[in-house]
Amino acid sequence: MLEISLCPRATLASHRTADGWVSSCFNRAKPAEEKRSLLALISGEERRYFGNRSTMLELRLVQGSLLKKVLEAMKDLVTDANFDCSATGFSLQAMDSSHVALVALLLRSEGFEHYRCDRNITMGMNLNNVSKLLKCAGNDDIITIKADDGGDTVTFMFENPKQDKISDFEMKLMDLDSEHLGIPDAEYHAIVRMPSLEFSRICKDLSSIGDTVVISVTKEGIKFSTRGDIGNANIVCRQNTTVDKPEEATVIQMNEAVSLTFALRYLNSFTKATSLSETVTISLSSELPLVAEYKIADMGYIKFYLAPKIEDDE
Amino acid sequence: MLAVEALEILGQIQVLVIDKLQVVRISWSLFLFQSPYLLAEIACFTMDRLIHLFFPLGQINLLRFQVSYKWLSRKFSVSSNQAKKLLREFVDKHGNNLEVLYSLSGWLKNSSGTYCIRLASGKKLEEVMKEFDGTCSVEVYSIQSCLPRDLAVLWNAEFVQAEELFNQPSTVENCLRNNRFGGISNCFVKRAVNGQSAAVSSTSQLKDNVGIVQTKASNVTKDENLQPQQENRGQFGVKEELKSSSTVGSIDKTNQNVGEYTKKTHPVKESSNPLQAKRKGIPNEKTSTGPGGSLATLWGRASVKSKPSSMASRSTCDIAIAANTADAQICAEEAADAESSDEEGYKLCYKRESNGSSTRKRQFIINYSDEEDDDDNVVSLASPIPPKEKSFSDTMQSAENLNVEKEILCTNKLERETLVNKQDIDDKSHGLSSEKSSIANASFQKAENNFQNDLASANGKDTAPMASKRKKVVKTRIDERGREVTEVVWDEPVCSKDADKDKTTNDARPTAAIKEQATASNAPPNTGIKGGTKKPLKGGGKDTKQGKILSFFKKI
Repeated sequence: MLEISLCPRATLASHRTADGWVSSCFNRAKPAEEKRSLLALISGEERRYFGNRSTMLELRLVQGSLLKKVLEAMKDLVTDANFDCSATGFSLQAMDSSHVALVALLLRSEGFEHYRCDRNITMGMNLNNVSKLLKCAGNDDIITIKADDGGDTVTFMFENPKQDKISDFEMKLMDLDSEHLGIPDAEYHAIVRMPSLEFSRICKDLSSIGDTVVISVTKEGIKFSTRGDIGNANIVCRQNTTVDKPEEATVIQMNEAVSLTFALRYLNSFTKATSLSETVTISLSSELPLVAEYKIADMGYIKFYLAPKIEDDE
Repeated sequence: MLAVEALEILGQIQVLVIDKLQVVRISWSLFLFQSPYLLAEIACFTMDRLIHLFFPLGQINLLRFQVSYKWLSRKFSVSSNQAKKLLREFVDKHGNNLEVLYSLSGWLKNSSGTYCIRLASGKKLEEVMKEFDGTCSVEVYSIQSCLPRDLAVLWNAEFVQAEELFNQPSTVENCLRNNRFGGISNCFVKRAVNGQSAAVSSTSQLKDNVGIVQTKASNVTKDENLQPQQENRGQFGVKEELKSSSTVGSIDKTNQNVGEYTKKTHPVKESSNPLQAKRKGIPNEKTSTGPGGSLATLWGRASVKSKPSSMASRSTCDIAIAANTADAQICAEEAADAESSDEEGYKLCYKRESNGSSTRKRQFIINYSDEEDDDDNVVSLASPIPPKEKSFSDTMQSAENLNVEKEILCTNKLERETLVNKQDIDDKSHGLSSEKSSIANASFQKAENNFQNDLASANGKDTAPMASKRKKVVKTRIDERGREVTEVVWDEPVCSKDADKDKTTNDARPTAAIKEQATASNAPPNTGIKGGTKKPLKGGGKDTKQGKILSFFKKI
C-alpha cells in the first residue's frame, strides 16, 4: 500500500488506482525510461504524486541498533544475501557457503515506524558491507532504508536522536541468484527455550574442547556433550521454570527424546544473535535441522537452521 | 573404643553437663570422626551418647554453647529429624538449664494460605502456639546456654560448619556434598545411603573397600593426579558423581554405580585385584585417595586418557589382565564376556560411553596409524612402562591363560566362519594370517600375534569402540597419507558390498565377524573386531558427516 502521508491530498480511491496502475506497469518490469514515460502520461495532481515517489521502498526503523545487531548476527554466517521486501515485511533467507546452515530473518512491517514497499523487491547485498555501513550509525540512531525503483543502489540514512545529524550512505546492490528454500512447518520432537546467554556460553565453552556437540533432549533436560583431544564435556541444563524472570527459565517441551550431533562452529556463529533476544528457542527433531530462533522484540525473528551431522554410512 | 571410654566417663560428664552447661561451649573438634565405631553407633544414637558427643574428654571449653539440630545433623551425619528428636530427648532430660528454641510449623490463624515456620523460645512457646491455626508441629530447633541478642548467632555455627564442609578437600565426601539429608533429591548427586561420613579416616574396613574397588594398575599417586583433572572435566552432575565416587563414605554406593553402569565389568575388575594386591602390597592408607580406585572403575577408560601409566596398564592388559589376573575360576572366556558386556554397558550410560570410546579411539590412533612394527614403540610411547615389563610377574600362569584364550579365539573364528557364509574369504585369511595384519582384522590377528610376543597391543582393539549398540562394520581403506584406516560403517548393504569389493581377506573378515556379532549377540568373546577409527580426530562422538540443509529443505 502506498503511504497516505506522502500524498495527503490524494483520496483513498485515486490512491488505489494509481497504486494499481503503477504497480502493474512495474510488474511488467519495464525499463526505467519506459516507466518514466508511462508516468509522464499521468496528469495533474497524480503526476505530481507519482513524480514524488521515485523511491519505492522506504523503511524507517527507530531502533536502529536492532538492524545493526541483526547484521552482526548474520554476517559471519552469510556473506551475500538477498533481502526481500514485501508488504508484510523485510526478510532474508540465506544459506552459508557450505550449505550447512541457513538463516531466516523476518522484520515485520508493523515493527517499523514507517514502512512503505510498493511492490516486492529483492536487494542483493554483501552483508559485510552492510555491516560496515551500519557501523557508522550510532546505537540510538534512526535508520531509514530507501531504494529507488529500478535503481541498483540502496540508501541507508541515519539520523541521530537529536535530529541534528543526518548521514546518508548509498550502497551498490548485487545481482544474486536467490535460492529460496521452502521450509515446511514441522512438528519438532523437542523444543527448548533457554536463556540465550546460557546457550551462547555453552557453545563457546564446548567449542574449546571439541568441534561437534551432541545435543540430547530428554525430559530431564537438555544435554550438550562434546569430546575432544583433551577430554569430554557434558553440560546439562535442566528444565527450570521457577525463576524470577520468565526469560531466565529453561522450558522443555518434548514429545520424543532427541539426540543429534552438530558442528559447534555454526552454533557459535548463531550465538552472535544473543544480543537480539534474551531467550533462544531451540527446536530439534531427528529428521530435521536444528532451529535456533531468536525473537526480535515486536518485530519478528531471526532463525538459524543447522543440518545435523549424520552417521556416516560411507 | 572411644565410645567405650566415653561411656566410662559418663558420670563425670554428667556432672559437667549439669554444672557447667551455661558456661560451657563444646569445641566440636574432630573427635567423632576418628572412630568409625562411634560413627556406626551414631546411627542408633542414644541420649547418653549425645552427652558424650557433647563432652568428649578434654574438649570442653568454658564458653558459650549452642547446638542446633541442623548442626547436629551435619556433624554426626544423622538425619535432621533424628537430630531434632535427639535434641528433644536432651531437652526433656536436661532442659532445666538450657535455653531452648523451638521451631513451630503450621498454618497461622491470620494468614491461612501460607505454611509458616516460626522459631520460639521456650518461654514464649505457648504464646506462639496459639497463633497457629489448629495444630502445629513443635520441634526443637536448637539448644543453647542463653539466647543470643543477635539472632544471627543462632545460625552462625551452622554457617561456619557449612563452610568447613565445603572447604574440605573435594575428594572428601560429606553430607553437604552428597546432599545426603537434603529434602530435594537430585539425580546427579549420589547420596551415600548408609550415611558414612567422609571424615572417617583410614580403617581396616576402608582398606578392604579400597582393595575391592581399586582397579588394575592404578595406584595412589596416579589417582591423585587424576582427580583434579577429572573434576575439571566433569561437568554438572558428573562432577558430583565423581566426588561421591571419590570418597570413602560412598564406596558402597560407587560399587552400586559401577554395577549399574557396567554390570559385568565388575567381575573383571575384581579379578584383577589380587594382582594388584600382589604387586602393590596393601593399598594406600590415605582416605582421600584410596577410593580413587573406585574412580577408576567408574571412569576406567577416561582414566586411561588422563594418566599415562594407567594407560599403559590399560593397553597392556585388557586381554592380558583378563587372562593373567583372573582368579582361577574366571576363565578367559568369561573375561572376554565381561569385556564385551563392558561395551554393552555403554548403552546404559552416555557419559560412560563417551569416555570410554574416546579413550579407546585414542588408543587406536596410536596403535593403528602405522605399521604393525610400530606397535611396540607406540605402546611404549603411550606408557612409561613398556608392556613387557608390565605384563605380570607370574608369566607362567599368564602363558597358560593366554593359550586358553587363544584357543577360544580360534574357535570363535571358526564359529564365525560357519555362521557367516564367508568361508572362502576366511580361508584366504587364514592363509594370509602370517602376513602383516591389516588394521581391519588387526584385532584378530594381533590377538594371535600378541599371544606370541606382545600382550599389549591386542588390547587396544579389544577395547575399541565397536558400538555394540549398532550394527556397524569395520572397513579398511587407505587414506590420503597412505595409511590404512579402519572405519566403522553401518552394517547393511554396504558391508556386503565392501566384502565383495575388497579383494583382501582382511576386510572381509571383520565384516563376517560383525555379522556374527549381530546375530549372536552374546557370543563374541574378544572379538577384537573393533577396528580403529579415525573419529577421535574429529572430536565427534560418532563417525559423522555434516548434513546439508538442501537435503532437508527443497528449493522453491
